[in-house]
Amino acid sequence: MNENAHFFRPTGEQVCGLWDHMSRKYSSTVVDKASSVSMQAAAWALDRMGIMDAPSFLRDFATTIGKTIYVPFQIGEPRSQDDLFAQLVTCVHEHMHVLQFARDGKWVFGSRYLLSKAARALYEAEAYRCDMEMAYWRSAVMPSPKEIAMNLVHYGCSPLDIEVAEKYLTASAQTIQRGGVASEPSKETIRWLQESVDPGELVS
Amino acid sequence: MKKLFGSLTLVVAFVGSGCPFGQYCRPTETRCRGNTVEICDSTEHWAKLMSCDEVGGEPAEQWVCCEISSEEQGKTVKGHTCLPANETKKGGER
Repeated sequence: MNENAHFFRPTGEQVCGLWDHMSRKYSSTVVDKASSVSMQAAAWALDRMGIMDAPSFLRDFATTIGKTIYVPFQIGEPRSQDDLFAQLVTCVHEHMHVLQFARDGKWVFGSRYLLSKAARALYEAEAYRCDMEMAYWRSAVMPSPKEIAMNLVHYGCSPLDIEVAEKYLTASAQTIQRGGVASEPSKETIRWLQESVDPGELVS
Repeated sequence: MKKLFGSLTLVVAFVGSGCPFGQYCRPTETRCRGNTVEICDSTEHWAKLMSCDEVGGEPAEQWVCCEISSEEQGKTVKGHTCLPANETKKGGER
């Protein structure tokens, strides 16, 4: 057993607590995706642009626009056995996009994300690195960079963009496996969990 | 005159495109630039992958950008990443 693994199964309350903390920290707002008219419009537009099909966009993906995060689930209410940890990972991933928006500015981030497949692939790779950091923190098992990069098919990225993202995640995995955490939202989440969760809950 | 005009147009078009000279690369290639890992994107331009100065975690130590080889499906894959400084001293290649 790897001594760095935490085998953490969060409760609904802890997941809600993390979302609250991250929203305060990064000044984000969380909105229910299903009830958002603007998300219906975005689904139609993304479908027309060939970036992603509308039903999948509304059902399977959280979306961040600026500092607003649209989630396709009720935070803290699991739909399957491992869903609460997935909600926690979604929180980290989407806050990476909030940070990208703040870091690059709305015009640069917005135009590059929408108009450049290469830039979109790298923005998503950076957010998917958070998923890998949290998965490794939890289980000391590294998810496959290739499988994660394949998610970019749903973002309209080309095979070469996906290959670049895979290389990006493979390089990141080498750092993560040595205990490194490069992403700011992952660092913040791990810090919050270590401070807020009973240490007994972090060990199997 | 026509040739001169043609050449000038080409130069203006290239400069106007915002493409920096000498920045082209082969997609998926990686490199160290200072203590930052960079990756070549599909448009053949270098982009930041991660800054080793910003890597944290346990144990808390210094991270440095260096070249690394790994075995994947029987093939040797070379790339660059951030490694703990003590590991690079043991034989890592910068």
